[in-house]
Amino acid sequence: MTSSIERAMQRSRSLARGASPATREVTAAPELARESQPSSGDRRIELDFVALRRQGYLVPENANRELLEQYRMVKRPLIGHAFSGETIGTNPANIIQVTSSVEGEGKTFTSFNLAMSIAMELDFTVLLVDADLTRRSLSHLLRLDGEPGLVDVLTANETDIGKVLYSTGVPRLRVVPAGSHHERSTELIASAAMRDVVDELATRYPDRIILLDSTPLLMDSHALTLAAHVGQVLIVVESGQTREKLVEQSLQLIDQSTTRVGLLLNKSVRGYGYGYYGGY
Amino acid sequence: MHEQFEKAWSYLLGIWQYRWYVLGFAWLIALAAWTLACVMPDQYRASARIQVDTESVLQPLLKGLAVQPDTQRQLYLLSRTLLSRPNLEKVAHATGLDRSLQTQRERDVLIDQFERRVNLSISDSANLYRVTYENTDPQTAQAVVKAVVDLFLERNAVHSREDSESAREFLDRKIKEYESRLNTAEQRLMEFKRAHAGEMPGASGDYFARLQEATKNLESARYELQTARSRRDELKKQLVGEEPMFGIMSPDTRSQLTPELDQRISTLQDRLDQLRLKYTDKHPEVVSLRATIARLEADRKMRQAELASQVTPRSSPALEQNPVYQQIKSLLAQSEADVAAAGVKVRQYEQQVSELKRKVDVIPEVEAQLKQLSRDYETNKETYDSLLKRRDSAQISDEAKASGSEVTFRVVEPARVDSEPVAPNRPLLVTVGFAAAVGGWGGLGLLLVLARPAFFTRAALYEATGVPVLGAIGRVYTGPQRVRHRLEIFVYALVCGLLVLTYLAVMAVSLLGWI
Repeated sequence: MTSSIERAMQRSRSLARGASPATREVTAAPELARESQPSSGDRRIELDFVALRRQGYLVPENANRELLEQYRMVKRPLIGHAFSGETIGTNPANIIQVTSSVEGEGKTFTSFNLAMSIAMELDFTVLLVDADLTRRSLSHLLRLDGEPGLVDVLTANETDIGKVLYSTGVPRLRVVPAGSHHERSTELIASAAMRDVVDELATRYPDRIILLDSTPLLMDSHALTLAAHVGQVLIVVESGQTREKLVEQSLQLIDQSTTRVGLLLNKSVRGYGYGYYGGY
Repeated sequence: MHEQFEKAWSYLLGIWQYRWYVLGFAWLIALAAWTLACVMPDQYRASARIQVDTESVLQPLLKGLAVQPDTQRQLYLLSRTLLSRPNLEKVAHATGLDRSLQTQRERDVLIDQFERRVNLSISDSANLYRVTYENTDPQTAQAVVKAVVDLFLERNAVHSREDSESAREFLDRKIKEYESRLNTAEQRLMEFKRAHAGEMPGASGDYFARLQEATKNLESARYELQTARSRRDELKKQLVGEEPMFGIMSPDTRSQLTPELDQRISTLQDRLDQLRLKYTDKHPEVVSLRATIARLEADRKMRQAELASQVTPRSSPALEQNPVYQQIKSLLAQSEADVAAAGVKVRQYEQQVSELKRKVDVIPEVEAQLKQLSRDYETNKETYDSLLKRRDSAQISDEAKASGSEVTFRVVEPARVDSEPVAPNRPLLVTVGFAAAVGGWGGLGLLLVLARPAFFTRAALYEATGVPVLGAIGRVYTGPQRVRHRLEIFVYALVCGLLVLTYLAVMAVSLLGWI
């Protein structure tokens, strides 16, 4: 178990250098998004739906109906909890952290698809934040590497979070990239500033769903610190890969009295117990 | 049911993650098993059959006469002792297999191998022994079986002879022992009898029986005495009652006192009357008759006078002539004698009883001792007799054995080698190898899955964590990933198919016997 964590950490280090076969499909996306002309206070990008769709992502046009249906199942309880008012703690319930036990389980895939699904089908504006300042997979995916983002807000380069919101081709989808590169970028997530950002997001956009693409729980403590401030945590579990022990460990780490926790079985295979839960 | 299928499905998915490892493992097992099957040397089996005939012609005749040996037990013992180590060493020596062996260790290995491979089986119904041995060399196999058969026959002969001899020795010894015991007992009994000659119980029984009888005799004697006495007294009384009757006798009856004379006189008178019918009074015969009658009458008169003078003073002389009186008198005399005899008898029995009573302490003891001695003697005698009988029957048995009638061993089927090797069963080995490969695939896969448990279904995830599972997202393949995935499945199926094909090929080869 320790070894798996170590291995995961090693992989994360190699990821930090920018090349890992496990995430190549995500990171090596060429021309996924075209950057639009940044106007003052409203930055725009255009998503390349064809390329995204080819990579298996959910897109508004000609969507993978099966995948759409599966996310419908997932988002329903999340939104329900976010706006029902039945919060189990003081944390804002509309802030949902998407994380996993170890890396490579599909956090970015899940958070993007979930955001797309919500934006496409429901009258909610979704704010998708790349809170994984180490790997910045989401930023890579959206071709927003190095663009001003979360780091800039945390380091006070950019005072207003609203300045780093990027609107996309999808009407109700906004994204916040990781931002400029910073030496101690990972520690920023655990900082008090991050907490302030979360609180600000929650209070400023109480009618929005805010999805945070976070680092894995068992890799470092930052994701856990973040989890203490959000209302809901969605833990992605990779079917057949994530060890039972690791999932249990992750769950033990999160204080479930203040944060609502949900699991998502990713990369599952058709067969018994699959169509049963996720059919049309 | 659904749960079980779900479980099985998730295990299968788990194994799929290690598909190449487990397939490689399966190939490894299959190849190893098949190589082994090909490399294993052929084994030839030599066998021989020996019939053991226990149903002899003489046996029914000897029933009850001779000792019936337990042949089944004998056979069992024989088969047990036959394959002992020394015997197997003999076999090794006889076949010459130990000639090339230098060390004791090598020899031990050979004997061990014999112990494992030489097989002696009995089919009870027909009393058939089957000796089998397997070896890579057919000649060696045959030689070993032949040696074992020889050993079998030889062993039987020695065994039975030794057996009966020891039995007879035993019987002889026992007989001698019992003979001396019997003599001692006899001697003791005799001496005892001599010492207690007077106190021996007679034919009538033991002490108490005798005492009882004597008492009974005494009783009856006493009764007899009493009876005799009362009878005598009665007779005496009657005799006294008879006397007064003589006093009132009439004088006329006096003539009756001389009956013989009266009779003679009357007879003579009759004759005289007859004569006077023929003759005159002058006839000499008449004259003489008259004279005789006159004399007799005179006689009678005189006698009557005599008798009358006798009777009158002492009762009456006529009483003597009374026949009843006479009879009673004689009966009285007899009863007097009876009383005397009974008295003697009573005295005798009294003496006997008192004698017996005096010996009350001695006799039962003597009797008990005698009984014990007799019992000892009887027991010894019985045993001795039965031993003697047994020795005789043993002798008959021996003779029956000597004439070869008891158990005969016949080699029904001499040592023979099958032309085809009996082992290894290559098709079976190849199939087992294939099955082991499949099992290894599943086994190793399952081991890996269980060693690193993960989740495959929503239900399992929820069950393990208790945290709500919001959904399950299917694996999404990008174009090249899908191609690669399908290619992998194709190659995997190909490699699996190749395993099956190889199995079939090896099977065909082994079935056709090309190895």
